[in-house]
Amino acid sequence: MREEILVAVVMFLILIGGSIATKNDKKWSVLFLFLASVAGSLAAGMGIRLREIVEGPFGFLDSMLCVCAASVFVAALAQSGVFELLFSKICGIKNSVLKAFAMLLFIALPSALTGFAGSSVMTTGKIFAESVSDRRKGAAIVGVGAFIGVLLPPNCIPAMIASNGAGSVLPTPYTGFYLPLLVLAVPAFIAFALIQRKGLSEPAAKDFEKNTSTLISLVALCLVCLATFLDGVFASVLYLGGNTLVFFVGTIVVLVACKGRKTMAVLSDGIMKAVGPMALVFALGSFIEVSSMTGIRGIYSYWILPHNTTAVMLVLMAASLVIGYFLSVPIPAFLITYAVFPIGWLANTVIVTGCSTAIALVALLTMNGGVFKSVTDGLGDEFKLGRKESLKAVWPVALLVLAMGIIMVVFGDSLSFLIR
Amino acid sequence: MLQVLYYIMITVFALLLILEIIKKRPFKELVCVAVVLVTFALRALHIK
Repeated sequence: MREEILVAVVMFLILIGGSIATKNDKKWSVLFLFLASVAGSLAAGMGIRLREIVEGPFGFLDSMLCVCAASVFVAALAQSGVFELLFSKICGIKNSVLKAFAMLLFIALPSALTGFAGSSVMTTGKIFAESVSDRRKGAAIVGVGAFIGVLLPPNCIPAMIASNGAGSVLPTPYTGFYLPLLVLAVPAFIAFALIQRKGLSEPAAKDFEKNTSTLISLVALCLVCLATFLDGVFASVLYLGGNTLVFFVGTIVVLVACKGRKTMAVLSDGIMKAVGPMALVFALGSFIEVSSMTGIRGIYSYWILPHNTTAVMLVLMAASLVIGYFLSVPIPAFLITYAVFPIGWLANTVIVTGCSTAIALVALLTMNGGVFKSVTDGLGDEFKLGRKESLKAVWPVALLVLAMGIIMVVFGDSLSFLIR
Repeated sequence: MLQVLYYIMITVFALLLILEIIKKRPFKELVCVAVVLVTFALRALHIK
């Protein structure tokens, strides 16, 4: 057996063993990804290569800094009461279709800003779920809404992971994804809002006592959304300093408007919510780097050379979905960076976005519940969904997202006008 | 400037880690904070 294959087997066995032993707990995955990296380095006879083990995460540092800043901003908004204000305004909408769209956007908003589902579940999802009579239906809506939010721009952790794989030797920056992500998520957004129109428009209007600080926070939220849109769509002609700075300034404005109330609690809450996804992505970076160092990527390149690039991507996407259902995110995320790798320096962000749908879908539905487990953990056991119920709620959205992902991979070159 | 930002992040994460240890949070959560802290610390050291 070739040495590279042996190294890969050692790394994957540790990861699979860890996933099974911890029942796919994402926080434990961080430790097992690092252990697998160290074991891979040792199995290759290179000792513990600290340089490569820590260099991998550096590729994700900038994008994770933005995720962290967005999470703190969302925590500041939640503390200011702006989500309650928005919710009361949306509840007052008379037209049920418009109300359903607005409500779904409300649920998805925090995840869209931060790039991970937990952000929506604990803020807007909680507000929505507490106001519906059918708890299970509420859980389904919150789970799928948070998932759609993850796919929406500006931040999308699955796309950030995939973009790292496209860099070949150096990581590709997470730029130019705004419109591709919007195109990917909008069909699922529209379909889900129409399918769940009744449930989404159920919450009745209620009064909310607004004050100056909440209104200033609302203005800050609108300006941040506008700035991220300008950064995403007009980045080639207008530079506002990047989204990290935008979120940072937004947080300061909200905290000042709230007269610095609970500043430390906001900081701690925002960072602690983001720390799990950040650590997972960093550990994945280490795993990817060690796989390159030990020659796994080299032998992979040799294997795929005779095949069509698009076919390789689609096969790895399918493999990710199947493996991900049983073993959760780490292995699919690794496979998707390898799926994107063949386009290397020619990285087309539309194709990268398409590939990233496989990671997102794995996060949505795994054997242990996926995003619905986060909903149960965050909102309580009364919001627990069975596998059949969650599949029933998810399948139209999952199919639409997967179809859009495949279209983006296959017709990525023709859709390159979406890259800004 | 960038280094200052990284050192601020390191300080915040170090404080959070201490706080989490005092609160006796689960080991897996402490690992997550430590991973992020170490990454930022090593990145700050790499900036020339």
